[in-house]
Amino acid sequence: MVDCHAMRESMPQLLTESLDQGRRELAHQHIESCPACTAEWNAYRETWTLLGALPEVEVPARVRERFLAELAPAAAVDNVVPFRRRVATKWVAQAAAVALVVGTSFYAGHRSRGVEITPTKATVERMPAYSIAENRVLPASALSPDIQGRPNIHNVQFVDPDASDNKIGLAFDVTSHVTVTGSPTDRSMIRLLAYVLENENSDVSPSRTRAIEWVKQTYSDPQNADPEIASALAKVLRNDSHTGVRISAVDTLKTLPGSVSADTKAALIDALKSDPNPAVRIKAVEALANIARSGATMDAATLDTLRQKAAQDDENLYVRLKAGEVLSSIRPQ
Amino acid sequence: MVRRLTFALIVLLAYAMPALAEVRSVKRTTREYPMYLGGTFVVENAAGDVEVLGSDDPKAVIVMEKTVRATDNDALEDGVQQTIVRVLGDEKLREVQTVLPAIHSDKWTSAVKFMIKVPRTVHVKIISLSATRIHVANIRGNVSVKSFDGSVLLDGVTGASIVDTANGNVIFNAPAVNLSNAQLSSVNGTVEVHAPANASFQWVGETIKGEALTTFPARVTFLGTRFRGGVNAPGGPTITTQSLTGNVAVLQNGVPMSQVKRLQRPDTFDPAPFGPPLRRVVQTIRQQIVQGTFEVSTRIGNVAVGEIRGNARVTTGAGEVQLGSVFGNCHVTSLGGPLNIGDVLGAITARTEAGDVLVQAARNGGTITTGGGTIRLLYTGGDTRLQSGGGDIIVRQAAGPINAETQSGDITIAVDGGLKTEKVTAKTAKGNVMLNVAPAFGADIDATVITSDPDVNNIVADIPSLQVRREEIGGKTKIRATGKLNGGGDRVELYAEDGSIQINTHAGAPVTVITR
Repeated sequence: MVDCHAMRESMPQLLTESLDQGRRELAHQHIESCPACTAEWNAYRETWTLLGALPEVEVPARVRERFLAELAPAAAVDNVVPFRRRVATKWVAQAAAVALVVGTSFYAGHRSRGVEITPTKATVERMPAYSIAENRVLPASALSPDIQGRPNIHNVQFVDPDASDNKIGLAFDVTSHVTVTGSPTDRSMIRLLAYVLENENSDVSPSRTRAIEWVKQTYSDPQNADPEIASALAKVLRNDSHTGVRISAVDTLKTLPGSVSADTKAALIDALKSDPNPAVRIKAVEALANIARSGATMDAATLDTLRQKAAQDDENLYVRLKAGEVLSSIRPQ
Repeated sequence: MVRRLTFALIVLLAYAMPALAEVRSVKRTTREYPMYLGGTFVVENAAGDVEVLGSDDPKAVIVMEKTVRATDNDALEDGVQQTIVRVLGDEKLREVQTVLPAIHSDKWTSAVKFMIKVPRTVHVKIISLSATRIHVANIRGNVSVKSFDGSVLLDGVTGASIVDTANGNVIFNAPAVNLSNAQLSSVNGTVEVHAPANASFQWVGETIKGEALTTFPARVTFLGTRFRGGVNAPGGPTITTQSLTGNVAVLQNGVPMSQVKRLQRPDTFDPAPFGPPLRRVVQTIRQQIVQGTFEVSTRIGNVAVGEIRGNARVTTGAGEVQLGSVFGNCHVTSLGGPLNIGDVLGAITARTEAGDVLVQAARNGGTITTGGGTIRLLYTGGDTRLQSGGGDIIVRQAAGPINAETQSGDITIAVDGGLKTEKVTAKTAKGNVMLNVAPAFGADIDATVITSDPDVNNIVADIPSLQVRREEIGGKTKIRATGKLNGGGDRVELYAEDGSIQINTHAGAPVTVITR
């Protein structure tokens, strides 16, 4: 609690980047490990951003004059006495503190056994001459799977430093540049990936489409299959305004082994019903065909949508035929 | 001989064992309810056949046969308990329902077969999910049937009828007199109307993948895939027969099927502006090697050819087109479906109204268009134009001028490393543009980003000589970078709205930045 209090006091300095490097690092580590301080820090940042976005308003001359006029008599009040520091008391207190520390140290030194120091070879670590950004590598297992708030993360990059191991990495900027590495099945990693995928505003390098392709490569492996990834892609399919991204999302859903959830099916049905891009509709119906072929049952609403699509005169013929194909391979619930 | 008999016995037992292990319960119940002559009778059945017959009695007689099959007695009991038949409503609206739990043990299955007699004047509505047969006969009221599978047979129904089935066949036996309008449709089944020789009605039909057949002397007019015509005397009620993949037929009672005629529809598939319509129509074609020119037009169906030692000209109404190597020019048009084209030595013209396009190599360039979908071109050696109505465009190695445009999607172009200069135009109305060129590549660069979020979208290039200007236009920020790369060269024009532009001039700049 004391830590939290101290950290919160140092947040304004952290925000204005006026803390020294050591304290800054400590503060960041604490914020990342403490949900309450993370929330506080996010609130600080949000307020700071909002303040920056506020327009500068010119104070009307009339208001300024009235304000100054109200201040003038206050300055002239004669019962205001200037504060004087009590110098003597301060020196006495400081002297007492020094005496106490010295006395305690002397007593402790006499009472305890002598310390034997084993000589060790000294090494000099060469510090980088100049650093423009902090870069920290964190194992996914050390992170909490719950992402607090809606942190703004930028410059997201999917990395795989060693293709031979079964680890993946995600680098991004939050309060500093962070690289999180871990197993594709690690819950924290999955949540982080899902968060990045769902957040259309996170600038992913080189593009969100490529990021989804990367997810496809990683999670098409049945060993890595996870319904949360499928669910995140379903959200992308529903919400992303970028057609290329939606195409990639639905294409990936076609191949993900864990994509037969009710939520995913609903997203595919919605895409088939109303996505303006025919390629998305084609892939959505193909994904449904895959699901039907896998033996999954379809509910009445899904069947109705497929029937409507198959009979829809103004729909692309290929989409209609695919809808019919799905119907022919369906096992009704 | 004994061995054979033993083996046959074992096989027989192996097949029969599951049936022997199965336990079954069949319960038959009969109930009677009063019905108004002008009332409505509704049947909702999840699984099982339904038969509704019109009679002169002013009551509904419902015979229901509940059959439960299970792997053991406990499961059987569970199935019997959970398969509930409810009869609701009153004399005006009587409804019989089968209720099954949304999720239940797979150790049992159940079906309820209904045999119902109702006054012949009532309206009948049937909703069925799984059935082998739905039969409605001798009804003067309106009949509506919605089913998923199984055949639907309407016999002597003189009221208006609507039948809509997903996978079932529809047979409508039209009465000799008092025929009413009927709308009969199936997605994957056939729709047949059997009528007496003197029946007169208007026939409206449509089938996408099947055929329109008749034994009547009918004259029809096609409008697209739909046709309209008269049977016998003009006028009368309208019978609509629709199927997506099955046949539709109007057949005269007593006339053998050997006399059936196919209604010839004119070739409605016009691949303009690429030339006159092709007359030869096939459903599906698959060939390994074609010597000389390959020319095919298919209304519906897939085309897959391994190698064409000449020009290729393929048109399809809907289907996937997959061509391997094409030694000559390649001209592919599809009204819907993905295109997958290999190495084209001549010029390529590939167009689909909807679907992805993948071209391995366009040695002489050409035009590649999709109404919506991703375009992937792995190599081009000539002037190439790529257009997508929505979707990414990726050119892995461009050894010729490129003009790429998408309504929404990223454009990634990697210019051949050996080229000193080349004209490139890439425009996306929503998305990013990424251009990779060799370090020695020379160009006059004009890159523009229009964005509402200039903190996220920008122009990123490792070209120091680029001059960047920013201005506010209509609430958006326009960022424009112009300049010469390596002393200048052909014009490179890049444009991205709500996205970024990235120009890489590294040696061997990777096209796929993410590699695993």
